[in-house]
Amino acid sequence: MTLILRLAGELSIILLKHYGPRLKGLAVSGDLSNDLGSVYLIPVFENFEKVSFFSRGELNSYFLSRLAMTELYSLYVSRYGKEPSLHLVPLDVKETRYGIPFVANLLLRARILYDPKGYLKKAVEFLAKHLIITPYGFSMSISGKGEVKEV
Amino acid sequence: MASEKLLQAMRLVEEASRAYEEGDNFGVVIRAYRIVETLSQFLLYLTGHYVEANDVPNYLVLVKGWQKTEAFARKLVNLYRKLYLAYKVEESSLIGSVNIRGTEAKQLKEGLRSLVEEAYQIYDEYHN
Repeated sequence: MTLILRLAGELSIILLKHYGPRLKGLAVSGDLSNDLGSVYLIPVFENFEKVSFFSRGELNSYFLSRLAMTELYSLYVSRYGKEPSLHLVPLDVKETRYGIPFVANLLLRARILYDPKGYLKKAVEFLAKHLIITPYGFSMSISGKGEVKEV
Repeated sequence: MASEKLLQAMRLVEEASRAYEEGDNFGVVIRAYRIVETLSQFLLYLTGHYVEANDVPNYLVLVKGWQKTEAFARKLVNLYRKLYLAYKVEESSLIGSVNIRGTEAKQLKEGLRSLVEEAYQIYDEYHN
């Protein structure tokens, strides 16, 4: 297991302890096999839609600062001479199905870690029905000029 | 190279102001993100490091030896982490969600100029 994936595991525990039952789902995505790649941890909440994506950046900053206090984080920094490219992508349940390209791409390739109500499983199935994974991202398989697909 | 990065960052501050005046709040996020990247490169050049990577701010742990540059590096990393999601998500496909609110964009835009001015001050003091 890569060091960055272990860090994502540590961060998952921090989130589960912090939010308890308010956390409705958790998934990990990104380049999980490469310590120098980007890894994304996706916590899912209810009634979170009104919080702007910019404001959610505060959560990213706060929880990564907490993770930075762990021994595992120090090990990563001393091994690679950099901080890990690990980011939180906090979502509202509804947003898992919006088809926001950045989010849909992560969810299509996600490993679900915690999903007590099945929100993430259903969202991934929904997206996979409409989108085709490609080596560079995903495709909506539009057949020709003038065709519009909405997800 | 470091001074060139400062000039680029100041140009981006002007662009962020223009974007805000035109009601393009996401435009402020784009410029802010680029300012953080540019000032990270500035700080790395200033302290003698060249980094070729997509996540340059994550390499700011290389900046060591002077309290002021280290503190500025932490400030940049925190801002990078705050901006990352809004920058990646972009605006156009959102339905009920919002990328950045007008008041947040105003506050962000106002902080950018002082951030670049702080970098100028560090540049001057570093060479003294």
